[in-house]
Amino acid sequence: MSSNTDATTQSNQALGSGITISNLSKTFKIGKEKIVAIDNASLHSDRGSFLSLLGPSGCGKSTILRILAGLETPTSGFATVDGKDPQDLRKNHELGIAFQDSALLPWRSVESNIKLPLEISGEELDPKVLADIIKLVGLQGFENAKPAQLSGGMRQRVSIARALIVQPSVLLLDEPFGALDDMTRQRLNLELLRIWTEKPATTLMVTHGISEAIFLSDQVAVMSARPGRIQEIIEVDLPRPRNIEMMRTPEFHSLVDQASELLFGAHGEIAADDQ
Amino acid sequence: MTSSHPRFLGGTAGSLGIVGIWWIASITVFARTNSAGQSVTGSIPTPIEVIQKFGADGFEFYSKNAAMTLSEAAIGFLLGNISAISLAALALALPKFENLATQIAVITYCIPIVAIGPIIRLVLGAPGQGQPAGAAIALAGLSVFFTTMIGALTGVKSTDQASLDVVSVYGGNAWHKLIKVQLLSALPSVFAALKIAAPASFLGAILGEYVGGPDLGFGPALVNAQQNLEVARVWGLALVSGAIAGLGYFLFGFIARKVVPWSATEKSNH
Repeated sequence: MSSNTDATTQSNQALGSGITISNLSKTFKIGKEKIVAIDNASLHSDRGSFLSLLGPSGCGKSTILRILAGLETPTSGFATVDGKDPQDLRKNHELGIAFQDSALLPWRSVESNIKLPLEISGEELDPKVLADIIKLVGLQGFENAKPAQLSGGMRQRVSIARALIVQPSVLLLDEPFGALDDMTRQRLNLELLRIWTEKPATTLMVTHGISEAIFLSDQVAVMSARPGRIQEIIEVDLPRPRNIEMMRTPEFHSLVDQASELLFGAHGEIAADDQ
Repeated sequence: MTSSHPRFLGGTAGSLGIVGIWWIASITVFARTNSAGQSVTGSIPTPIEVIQKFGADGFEFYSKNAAMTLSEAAIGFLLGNISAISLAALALALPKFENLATQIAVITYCIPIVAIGPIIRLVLGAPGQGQPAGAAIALAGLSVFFTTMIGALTGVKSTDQASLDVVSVYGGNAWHKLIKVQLLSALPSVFAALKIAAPASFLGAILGEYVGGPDLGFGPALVNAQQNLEVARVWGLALVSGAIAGLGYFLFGFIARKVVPWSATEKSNH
């Protein structure tokens, strides 16, 4: 079911493939005060696997993602994907990212927003690949629409399509559906599962939704706040391909309970906040 | 959308109301009696008198003066905005220079424009016959400089951070950020500034004409009308120049809606 793996033994696995986070710490200075965002976090996930960082707000989960994206630099330790550091990954255009805020350019159409990463990398656009990705995320017929004409859920689809167009070796998802209503969020999680099954990529997702983390991931790293630490890594051994029926199985529920206990203590207040 | 109809009605009612108050004031509070004891209008002419004077002066009187002031305003608008945007660009390219650039802009805004006019007149000299006045061009340019430069700077700086993060995660450098994101996201704010700059340049040009000494334009026309006690003509000139300045405002509002259509819809969707 799950293993109470000591975080440090994880980092001893081969550096060559997948996401490796090793003794990562990050301290922010606000005025004279020092704030420890991440305290000595270590993690490893295999190439092609889906890893989620689950925790309350302020536990540094987004900071880990931003370090991996090269948007922040760690105070100590390192983060790599397939042995390459974030700067190299960026230079080689190997990263795909989607934020909670879709961060689409409002003057560009759906299609033009999706093409943006290729304009930056100067890669040739294969129109067939573009058409495939638009179909994959279910945006056919909206190619020429502007972001303002789309719903929040559709804007996130565009943002995910933009991440996939570069055929990334790592996909970073920072609470991609966090700003959406529950129903849209559930539906997009199913969509994401389907998309990810068709275009597998090493994925790191940051979320505070317990059941979506369990449902989508191979591994869930449960974090605690102030200072941000990795409490435990839950191995999710639900079989793939997964479907919505699995969310009703006792195995699924016991994993959700386990994560809830880690997050809220063993007082039975299983307030899964995405349900 | 539902508010557009009542707003139009409200605007019309407001304008009619002001004309009404003007009319009543001109025949009551500001009225004078002549030697025969009849009530005649004095310091404020009635709307009818202004329209009659407008007709008597003729279209050509207004068009040739407007053409002069407009050409000064247009040259000043162009030069002022080009220098404002260049300075903003320089401030963005060289962050160390930004404080100085902002200070220059603030100084142009804080020095009374009527004090600068005579200095420029002395430097540039009086214009030739039928020539635009240098002082009018300079004051028109100065009137737009501050708003445009601050508009351009805040526009670039208010760029959505997440969009910049996206560009840098996909391997973009500062140049990509500027070209793909910052310049375009600055446009709504630049156009908002230009919308204010358009009437400001026209009014700046009129002010410049007061000291610049051209023989044509709304400035000299106003001075002449005042000296000849043609009160109705002063009102006519004031109303027409106000209308031209207002047209400039709406023209740039219209251009902004065409060029940056996303700026109106963006806010309602976030």
